[in-house]
Amino acid sequence: MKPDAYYDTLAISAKLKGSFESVAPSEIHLFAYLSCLLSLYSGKAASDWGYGFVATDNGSPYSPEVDDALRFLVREGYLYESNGYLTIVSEGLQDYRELSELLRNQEREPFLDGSCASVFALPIGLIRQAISTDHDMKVAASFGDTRALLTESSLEDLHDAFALLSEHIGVGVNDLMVPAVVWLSYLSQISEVSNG
Amino acid sequence: MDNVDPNKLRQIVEKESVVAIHRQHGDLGTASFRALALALKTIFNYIEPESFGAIIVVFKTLDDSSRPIDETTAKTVVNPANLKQEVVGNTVIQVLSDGRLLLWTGLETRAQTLAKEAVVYRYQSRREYFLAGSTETEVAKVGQYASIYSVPAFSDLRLALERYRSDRAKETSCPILQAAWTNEKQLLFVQGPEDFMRNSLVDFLKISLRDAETRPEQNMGVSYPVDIKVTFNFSNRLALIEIKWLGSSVKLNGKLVSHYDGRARSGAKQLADYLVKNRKQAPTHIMRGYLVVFDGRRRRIKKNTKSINSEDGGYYRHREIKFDLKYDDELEDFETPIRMFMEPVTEP
Repeated sequence: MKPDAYYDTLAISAKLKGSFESVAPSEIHLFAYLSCLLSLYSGKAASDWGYGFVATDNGSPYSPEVDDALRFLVREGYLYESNGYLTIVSEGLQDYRELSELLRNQEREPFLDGSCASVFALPIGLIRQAISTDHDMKVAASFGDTRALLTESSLEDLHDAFALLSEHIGVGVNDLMVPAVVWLSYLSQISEVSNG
Repeated sequence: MDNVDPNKLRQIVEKESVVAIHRQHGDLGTASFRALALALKTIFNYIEPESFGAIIVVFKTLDDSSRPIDETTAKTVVNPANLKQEVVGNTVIQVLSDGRLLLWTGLETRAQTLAKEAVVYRYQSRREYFLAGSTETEVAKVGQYASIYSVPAFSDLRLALERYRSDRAKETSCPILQAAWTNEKQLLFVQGPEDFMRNSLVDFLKISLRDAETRPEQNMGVSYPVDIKVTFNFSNRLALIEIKWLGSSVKLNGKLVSHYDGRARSGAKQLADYLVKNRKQAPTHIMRGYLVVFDGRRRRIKKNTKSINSEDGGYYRHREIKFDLKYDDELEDFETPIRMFMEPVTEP
């Protein structure tokens, strides 16, 4: 199992607990993907993230590594599953606290924190909708097939887009919730326009 | 991804509350915003903003120990369930880091003054604002909700449909749905009201339903009687929603077309037939069929009816539709139909 995916899955489950009693597996994948985008925004390489994503035939992000971690955490009793939704239990929170002290994980925290904090400014339905407007997500949904995300050509476009985003927001913003919310609002408004 | 529109992006940056808060108060400001947002979700669990006519100001100071309003005159709320009784008229609430709320009612306060040392939220007449330092930003509307902090999140489609019935369809409180009526009296539908009904329901489900994608479908006639398709993520579950309307509609040529129970019955049969057929064609999918009936029936209605009394207007309120078969008992993938009676504006 990929340790980064394991940590992110725990961290996202723990961070969203403040807003939702339980989370759907697809929401863990969604916020893991948004966290990865924030790492790109901060100038990291996609290959540094530690695991990859594809767009599902339903037009949402999915990571096989996060899926492995989810299955493991459910099996070990760190996440409790009920009606398809997951709740992190005290053992899971304890593991998260311990792992968050590792330097490698501390470096991931601003991205995970920024992505999960977007729920303070936007409803979760709108966040999901915004992420699904990504070109590759739309193509995957319309063809009913999976499609690789963060490919070389899409990364180039994302870097350009994030450079513009950073220019508008300004430097020195440590709280990555700010670019996350702006980016999601932008995607959501663009999608409203294109849906007429 | 598609090219970014720099002008659109700039507009969003300039209007976005979290950007303004960060520009005024830095990381301490966004940390206060998070605590404030969490408290707003709790507050709007107990106070329905839709029906709240006064002003609510809620703030979180950058320094938690700061008390810009005399604390001795505040009520301290420990259990948020008490907010229902405590919030009457114009209300000011200070959010504390330990989860307590300090509450003042009937207080004249200047939000601009508070904003010098706090992140301030103001709700007034279905509009929301954040103030920080010298900047005020208005929160962009999401769907038809009075507040973004009162947007429900459903994991169950049936619960979502039931909430739509009570919050949107019953009083036609959704502007998209209002266009289905010829006028504000809500007596007669326009021609083809189903498009407005479908769009209103899609708008609601898209934002409020968790873990699913909601898409309007092109209705291809009796062989494909689906108005809305809901696909649940990472599973083979999907739900089909068929919409039917009952009541009277004025066609463009002025003629009146009326639909009663028979229309709902034919919709149920269509959906049941489709589910049976689909079970053979796509056996790997777990499909559920939902019949949603928008019920705008009025007794003794004519195309030139201008008003209606409460007896005729509410005649069909509790008259359930009798289906030929108990489809929901006979077919395990057929959900119990949901009838949404749409209230008229009646004369005494």
